[in-house]
Amino acid sequence: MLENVEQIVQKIKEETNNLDDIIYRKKIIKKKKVYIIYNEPLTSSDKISDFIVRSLNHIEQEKFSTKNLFEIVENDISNFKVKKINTYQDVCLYLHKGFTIILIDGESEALALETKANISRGINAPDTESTVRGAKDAFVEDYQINLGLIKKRIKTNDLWIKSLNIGKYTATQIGVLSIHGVVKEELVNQVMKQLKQIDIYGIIDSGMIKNLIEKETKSLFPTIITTERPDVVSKALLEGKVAIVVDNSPYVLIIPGVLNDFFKTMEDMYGKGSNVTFTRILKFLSFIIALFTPAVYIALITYNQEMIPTDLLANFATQRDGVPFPAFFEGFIMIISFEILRESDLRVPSFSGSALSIVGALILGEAAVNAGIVSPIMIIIIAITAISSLPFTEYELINALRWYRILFMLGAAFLGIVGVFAVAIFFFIRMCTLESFGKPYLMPFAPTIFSSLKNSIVKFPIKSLKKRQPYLSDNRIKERSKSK
Amino acid sequence: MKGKINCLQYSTIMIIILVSSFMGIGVYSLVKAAGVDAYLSILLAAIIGIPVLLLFLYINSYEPDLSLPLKLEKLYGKKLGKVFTFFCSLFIFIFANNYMFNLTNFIVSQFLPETPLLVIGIVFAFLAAYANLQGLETLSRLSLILLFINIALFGIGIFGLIPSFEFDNLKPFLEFGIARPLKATFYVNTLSIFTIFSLLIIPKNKMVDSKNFNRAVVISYLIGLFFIFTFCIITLGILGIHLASIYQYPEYIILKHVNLFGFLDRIENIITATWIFGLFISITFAIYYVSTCIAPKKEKKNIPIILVTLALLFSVHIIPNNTSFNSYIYYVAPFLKMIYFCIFIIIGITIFIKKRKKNNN
Amino acid sequence: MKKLKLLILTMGIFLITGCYNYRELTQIALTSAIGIDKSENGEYVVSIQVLNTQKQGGDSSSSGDMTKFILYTSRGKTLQHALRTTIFNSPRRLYLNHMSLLLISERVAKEGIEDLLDYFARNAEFRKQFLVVVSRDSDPSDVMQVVTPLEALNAQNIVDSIIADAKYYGMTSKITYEDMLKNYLNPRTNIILPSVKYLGNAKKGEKEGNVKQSEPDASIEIQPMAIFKDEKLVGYLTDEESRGLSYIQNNINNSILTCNCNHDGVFTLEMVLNKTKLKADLKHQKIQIHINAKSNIKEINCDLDLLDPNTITEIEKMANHHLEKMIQDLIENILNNYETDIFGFEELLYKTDPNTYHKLQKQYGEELLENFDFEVTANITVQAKGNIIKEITR
Repeated sequence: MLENVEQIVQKIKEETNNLDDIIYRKKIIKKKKVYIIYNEPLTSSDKISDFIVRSLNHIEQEKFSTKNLFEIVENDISNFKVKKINTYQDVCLYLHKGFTIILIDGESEALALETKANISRGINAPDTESTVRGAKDAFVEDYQINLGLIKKRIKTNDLWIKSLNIGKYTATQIGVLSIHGVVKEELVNQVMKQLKQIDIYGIIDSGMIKNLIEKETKSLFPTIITTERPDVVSKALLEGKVAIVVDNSPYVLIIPGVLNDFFKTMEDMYGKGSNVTFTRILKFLSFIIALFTPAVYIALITYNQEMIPTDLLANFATQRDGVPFPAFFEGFIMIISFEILRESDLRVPSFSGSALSIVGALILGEAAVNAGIVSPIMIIIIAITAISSLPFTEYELINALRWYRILFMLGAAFLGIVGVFAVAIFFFIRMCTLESFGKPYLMPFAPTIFSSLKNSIVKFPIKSLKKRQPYLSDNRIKERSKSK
Repeated sequence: MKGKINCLQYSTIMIIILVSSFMGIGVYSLVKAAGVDAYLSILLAAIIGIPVLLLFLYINSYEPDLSLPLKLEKLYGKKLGKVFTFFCSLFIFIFANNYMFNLTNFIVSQFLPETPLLVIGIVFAFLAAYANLQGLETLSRLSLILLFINIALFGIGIFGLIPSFEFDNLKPFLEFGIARPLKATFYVNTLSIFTIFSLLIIPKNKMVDSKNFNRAVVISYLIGLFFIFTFCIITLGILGIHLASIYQYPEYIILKHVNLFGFLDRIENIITATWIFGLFISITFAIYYVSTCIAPKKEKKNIPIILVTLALLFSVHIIPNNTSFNSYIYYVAPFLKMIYFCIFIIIGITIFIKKRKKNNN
Repeated sequence: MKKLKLLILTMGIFLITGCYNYRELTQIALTSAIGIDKSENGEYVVSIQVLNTQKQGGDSSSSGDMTKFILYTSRGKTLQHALRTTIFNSPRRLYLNHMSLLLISERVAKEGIEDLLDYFARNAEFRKQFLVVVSRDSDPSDVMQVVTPLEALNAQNIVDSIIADAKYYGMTSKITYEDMLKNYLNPRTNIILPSVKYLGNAKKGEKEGNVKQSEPDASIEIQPMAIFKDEKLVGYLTDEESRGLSYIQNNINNSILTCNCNHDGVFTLEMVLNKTKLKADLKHQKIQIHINAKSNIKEINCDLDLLDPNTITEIEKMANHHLEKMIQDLIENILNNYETDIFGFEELLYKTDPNTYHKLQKQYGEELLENFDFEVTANITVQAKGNIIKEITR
């Protein structure tokens, strides 16, 4: 296939429309035509001139007779990572990956030599999942560095990586990580099966993979954890989960993700059990508050006034006096304006952020009340709701809460507290139906796994957490010596 | 794992069915029948119910792989089995209507007096159908979660009610002898305990840990009756016999007395979620029962929807008002349940005879 | 997703077609108290006190000018009719769940309150926890229009003073509607209710200016308990009798007891930690009332040597005697003059031994309690005599 070098070079030139970026260097060694081809923006020319060209020059000067040229080049080239390739497709693939290709006339195989340029940023502290203590490194866009960050933490032969390329144009490298012997093989197979089924023009980020392999497309709640912290990934792997590393994405996917996982942070590992329990109860409360508060308020104020103490109700009535909108609509306006504010805050350059907060606080708070558009109590309700949706690192979870919040508000506006109960039943049915890669979404609670409840809302001291979650791993005991 | 549930989930369904079939109508019937000694009748009923429970376990252990309609088919042959299945599901369908009316009537009378029964019925019927479409696994998980919530709310309620509980209201003890409470056990048995037979629709071997099955059933039977007992004794202890006998929903009225730490009162509407959730699970499970009876082997998606719609229409249109519902519950429903129970006695006897024959051969 | 859409769609349809019970706070009139009277021609005259929830003017300084409540009056053949037709005067529908006080006029109480009991019990709009009070010698509307100092809301003012009285003096007790209903439904108990009286100038009292003086023109005064026989008011107790009743019913937490000395002069004890035990003996037809209390000397105007331990015993004896006599007199008076069992003695007899009770009732009928002996024993212990150890004399 690769015997006719000139023809191949011509073909590449044709297909790339004579792209300037691809450099072809022709050399004649031992009367044989040798082509050195590389993609300039992806490669480091230092490496090429230092190792490849110099080695080739060295080979040229040497005197030998017996072996053929290909073997000599393969043997003597001072580049470390050498791959033999034998198809035209591979030649193109490695070329676009930043390898340097050495084509020798008359040989059926070519050599791909790793000469990637370092076009990745350095390792920074995590942006979205900051912790008070714990490791401060975060994933970057480079696949190898990301793998390195994980492998640095897990030093075992059992860390198995199954890799594949996805995407017609991007050919993005994807690695499925798992610890052999801990993970349930069926989970890995399931993930691989899902990944292989993907047929798409390109993968830009792990978020796309996430959406493509998530089975529960109906669900608003995330069933896959995304993280930028290598320590989170390492811990998940040790528990028997599967991680998916995607090239060019600083976010790694962890499978499966059940609801309870989103209440946990890395810091929970480091804190005292009792303190962590308190934090988790707070999170759980804020989850409930974020879901129910506006709905319950609307229900109380428009249907079930008997539930509010008399003095408070008189206050509410006085404040509501003169507000022309129905309570539901009033709440809806406020929620929408808060969401707009939040979205703008994410997108706006940091230097105009303070202007935004002034506008938000003044216009939406003080002025709206004075103008009689909303009642002060509604501002408080929305503020509590907004704060309560923030302690979760998973952005998708917050977004899912948003939809359900509005659904609950609709229920409340329709049937009062009974409507809230009805929507709550619907919410529970959804949550109970939901599964993340075959694992029930409400896992340690329903169906109840008593041993896993030790690390759910409450967290027992780390010493007493000797067993893995039975739904994640057959290898239940955490200490290796006992299990083998 | 697929399609399987565990014993805990099974017990939660059982507890919810036991308790919620009693809600709203039980205390009314008991007080009418037994007066102040109503709470005693529950204790007596717990003892009288033991043979019923044994019968339930006995039928369950026959062909543990099969659900009730298939069991009946195996027992009586295709035709007779179908007849039995038909009657079982007919009764359960009637009970589903009762639950439906109880739920909607309760909501309308206490929360939303101007809303038509039908509107509230539609909402809950929709949810019941939706839950049914998701299958037994979802249903069992749902009941587990709702039971957790119910127990928490129940605890709050009881905690807030203890200060207003007066032992004096439970006196005099057995004024008319044991006869009246004994008579009232009939109501506990028929209204509440006999409903456990609807659980036969879940075959025993569907449980992942079916070896714990008997224990789970007995424990949930006790827990369920304990809840009923607490409801009854708290109601009587707070309201006294005279008030308890005039209210339509005395169990709800007592919740107005809940006062936690001196400021957290007026929360009866929140605690009432226990009723709504419990009755909802009962309706849903009854619909599951009937739709499984109709199509025992394959899942048919539209059956639950049709059933729920029928139950909704029947409950709204056949029962004209709560006066007739109350007299129906007091005079007719117990006898219907008695007939329903008799079916299972016959089934039990048949199983016994069949086993005997097998042993002789 | 299809189902979710369907759900949202259904919900949306319902929202558009109208929410049946939807009531904005600006559409309801929060009712704090209802007063019931009857006109000459037998119609109900209902006074309704509604919280004023109108927003005060822009600056907060002017907020004092607004009245805290509004009083509506309406008439009707039935209570529901009268209450609903308040709409003729008011732009909002009454919201009754937050009602804290029901005021019954003397006239209605004397004619019988059974219809009224039925109405409030049947209606799910009412919580059954509001207080019921008889307005003595005065129209409920007069009582309800007085603007009261300290607690601006009239109804809350009455409720609070009754609660405070029940807590620190013991003349009245906090009787909710449900308690009243319970007492009425039980054939062996009778209704008792606290009462209030309107004092002063009616015309001036309804003005906001009433509270701008240190001595208001009009005021409301808590009065002793009103007693009923079956559904009808039969009379009022005196202050002392009223407290005696509270002692019998074990309703006293803290009270004061003023007794005469053996020689001359008076002394006052503060009663704390009171406990009354009732015991019925159906065989010997006897009811024992045993009062156990601890007390502190608060004031002493007698010629007594407080340093002598025997004096304390003497004081205890005098107090015991006083209390025993007070209660004996009360029971005698009620049973002889009113022939109504407001103490719950019959209920006690019934609960102790139902069978014997029924027998006795057959035997004596209405005059059952008159055949019983009442044995009152008081056991008051004086704990402390305050900051000083002896009487101040020169």
